[in-house]
Amino acid sequence: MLYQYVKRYLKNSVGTARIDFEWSSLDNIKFFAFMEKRYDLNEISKEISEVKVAFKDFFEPVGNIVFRYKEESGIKFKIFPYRVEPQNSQHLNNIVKIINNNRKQIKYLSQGDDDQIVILGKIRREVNKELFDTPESINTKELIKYALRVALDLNDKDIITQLKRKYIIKIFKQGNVLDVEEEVLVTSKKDSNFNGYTAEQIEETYKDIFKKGNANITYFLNSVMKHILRNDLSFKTIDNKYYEAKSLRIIHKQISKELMDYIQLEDDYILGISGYIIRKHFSEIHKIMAIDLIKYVYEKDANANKFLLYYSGKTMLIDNKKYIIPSLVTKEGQQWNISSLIGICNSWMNIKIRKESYEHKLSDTQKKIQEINKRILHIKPEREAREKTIKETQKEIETFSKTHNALVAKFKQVESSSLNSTEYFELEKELAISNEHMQELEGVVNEAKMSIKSMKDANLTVYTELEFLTEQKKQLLNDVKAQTQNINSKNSQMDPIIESIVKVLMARTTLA
Amino acid sequence: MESLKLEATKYTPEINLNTDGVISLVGKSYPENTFEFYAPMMEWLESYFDGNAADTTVINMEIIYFNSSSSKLFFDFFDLLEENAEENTIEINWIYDEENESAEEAGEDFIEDFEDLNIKLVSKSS
Repeated sequence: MLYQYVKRYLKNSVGTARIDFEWSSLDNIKFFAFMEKRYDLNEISKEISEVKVAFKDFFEPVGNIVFRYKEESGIKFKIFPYRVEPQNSQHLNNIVKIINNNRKQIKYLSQGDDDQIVILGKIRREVNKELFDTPESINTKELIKYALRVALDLNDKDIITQLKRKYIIKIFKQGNVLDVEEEVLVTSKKDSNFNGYTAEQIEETYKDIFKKGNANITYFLNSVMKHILRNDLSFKTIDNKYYEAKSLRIIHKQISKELMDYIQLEDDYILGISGYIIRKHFSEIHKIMAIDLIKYVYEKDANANKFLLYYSGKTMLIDNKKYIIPSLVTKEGQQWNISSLIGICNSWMNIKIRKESYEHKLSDTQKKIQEINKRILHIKPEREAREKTIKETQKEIETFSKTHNALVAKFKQVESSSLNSTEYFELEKELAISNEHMQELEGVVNEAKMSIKSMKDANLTVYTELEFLTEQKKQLLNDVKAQTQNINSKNSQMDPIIESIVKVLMARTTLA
Repeated sequence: MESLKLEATKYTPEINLNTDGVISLVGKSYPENTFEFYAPMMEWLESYFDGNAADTTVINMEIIYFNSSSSKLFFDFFDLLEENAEENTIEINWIYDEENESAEEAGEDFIEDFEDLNIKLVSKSS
């Protein structure tokens, strides 16, 4: 049962499947040492397809693997993100059909404020058959969830989770967009519950995921928010109503999605971790959004401008109800003068963009310097190798010359006495061969000498280029330093503005 | 409904599905088309648990060797049993030769994956 044995090994040695996992040569050695306790190399080679399937299935929750095996070198593999989106899957229609043909296998339950749908096993088993051994590069879990959304006509708000092997769908009842009750899963201060898990339960996992050497939380949040701000929450297109109603859910959904791609844990637990992350990094997340909004205002985007100007602190009347709009206020509690706020932001953005441009050029220059240093390192051993060849070949020539010269002398002797003798013809042949060999040896020496000469010429160009780039790097470092100083001095004006924008983004329009 | 029996082959186990509740799978499992081979067994079980189950169902599994696709099918098999375990009394005996470590470990893995099922490991001497 090679497949089972390998899966067991991976579960115990790798632990959780991760998209950034790298299989080293040490892993390779350890793996085969373990395998050879029960199977010899021949058996493993014969059934390598079973080993491959075990690896593929283990990493299936996070990505597709490209797997190579050679008897001499063992296993090499790499994990790639899935390429096909669920909506483009060739299996989608069939899976939707399976769900529709097995409606009896769907249980509808009512649970207080929300309804629940439970998908029973027969549907899952039929779907497993459909997806068995598919060559399509797709996350099958996401595909099944997507198919469920299509077949059952679910809303975006409805959440599909997988508990052990069951798919459970929470149907959220529609609510008033301005009734902004915090999502249970997310940030209610009253609620210390994260999808049924406490903070203590989640904290250890959180620390493990984001510990040193693993993923970095700042990088993770930036990556999540970058995606959201370019797609579902772009300040170029959304309005404040949409933002207040949907932003937290969108963030929660995207964090959950990225965690699911990265780690293998039960979905409902991941939803809990996402809620925990949002609460723990609530300010950071809103700061990223604040800076993004400032950027679009700087680019004079009309929608972003309108979005920012909304935060006037005024009162709105809707359906005979009074709502108070959050307000952009200074630390002293006074309403910001929007023109001067935007003026300061623009000035700050100018410096920021200039600084980023210099940093970019600096990074390019540093890369070029690294390349040149690599070339220099490469040249030295090559030259030394050529010099060694010259030395050794010259020594060989010296030794061979003795034999060659003796042959020449003998030939001359025979030539003068018996031109037509057998001995003469034999010696003539031998001498021709010896001459050829001598020429070959001299050829090797000449070639090596020419190679050294061209290396010297190349060397000269390389050192000149290095000098130029080093000078350029010095200049750019100064430029970056200058812009950094500028931006730091601007920060004293900018920080309170960012803080005000963060506060309004975290706040909500409320009933008066 | 009627009992069903599938004879063993070089690549597939002997399968006995009895309406009195005694079910057995004995032999090796590495068929060419796993889902196709086991489809009759899965359909029979679905029908059995749909109002035809005996008071107690005992399943004896003695699988000496199985490949990856069989492993996935067995997963679905246990999944079906687990689904019906709340309303039915189901006992599963995973029987292995005491010298077949792989078979023993496979049984342990299934027990871990299906905590709600009553699976017993039964060792037998060769």
